[in-house]
Amino acid sequence: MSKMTDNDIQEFLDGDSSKKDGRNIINANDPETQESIQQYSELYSALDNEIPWSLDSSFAARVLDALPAEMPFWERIFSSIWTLAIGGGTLFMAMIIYYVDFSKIASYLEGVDLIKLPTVELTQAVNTYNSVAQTVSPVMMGAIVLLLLFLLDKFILREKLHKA
Amino acid sequence: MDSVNYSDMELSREIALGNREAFSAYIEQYKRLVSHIVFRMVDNNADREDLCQDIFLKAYKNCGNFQGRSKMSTWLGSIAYNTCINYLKKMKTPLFDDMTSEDVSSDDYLIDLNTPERDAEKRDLKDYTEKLLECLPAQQRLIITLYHNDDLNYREIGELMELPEGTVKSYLFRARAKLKKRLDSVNEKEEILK
Repeated sequence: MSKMTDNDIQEFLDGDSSKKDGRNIINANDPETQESIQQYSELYSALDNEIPWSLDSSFAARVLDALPAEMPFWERIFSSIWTLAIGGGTLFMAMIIYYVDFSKIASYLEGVDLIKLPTVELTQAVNTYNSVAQTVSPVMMGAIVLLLLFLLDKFILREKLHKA
Repeated sequence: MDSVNYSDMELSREIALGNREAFSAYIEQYKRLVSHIVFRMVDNNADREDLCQDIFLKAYKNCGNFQGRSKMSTWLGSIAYNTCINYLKKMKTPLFDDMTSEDVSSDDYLIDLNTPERDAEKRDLKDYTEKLLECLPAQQRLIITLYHNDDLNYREIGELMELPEGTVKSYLFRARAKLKKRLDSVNEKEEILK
């Protein structure tokens, strides 16, 4: 009758039930195997309770101190070319909305007969748009710029600077 | 410090955005694992803490790359493991497989264990363990620690060390068999000396 090998015993002690066949269970009664199981059990217990070197409680603070200081929001914003693109693009749009008289464009389009639109309703809509745009656009564009800068910072700049 | 509970993905996202509180919680959560890996791979005590710090700084920088495909512990563990390997290469320390321990005599342990200070407690297996583990190659020492102290399974250890599961299991079994053999040998010699 063959005895349990070292591997059988280790699998047995590791709780690998798929490997526990009848042979193992029967042969665990063999005195030599019993002794081996006993020795392995003691070894397992010693390994489980072995305490390797560990870091002290102030370690986290030391690592945090070693991190580069975080850049303030406006510094992050002005460190990116994206800011210039967003600011410039939004300013350009704001100037178009503020200064361009869309009623003239509408009249011109009517004159050249490029589009057929109900003239009265269109003129009213354009006039309403012009008056609202001229009043609201600076505030609205300012808000849009701030929102875009915030999104830029949150999703692009912080991560990019963090990796750098 | 108040501990904040984050999932692995939330944690990596917060750290990638520069949240220091999340990073501090992360360090507290994983410093045990990192210290175990460094301890088992690097013998020089003076360099161990610097290495641990390097590992966490690397994790801080690369947290945005964590995809959640593996557990955070194995992701960070593999950073720690590779950092230690690079350190060993830099220090020109022979890597694991070159360090055969078969030729180390069990007398080495017996002599040490018979010093008067240790005489009273030499029968305590726990006292032998650390000394015995030193005779194993670093790779096997690490596998034993990850399995027995950090409760990682074969698959997780394999992911961490970039080894197939079967190889991990084989190294683990071989290492424990070697430890047992050495213990038997030490015990036999003690019997003879009596």
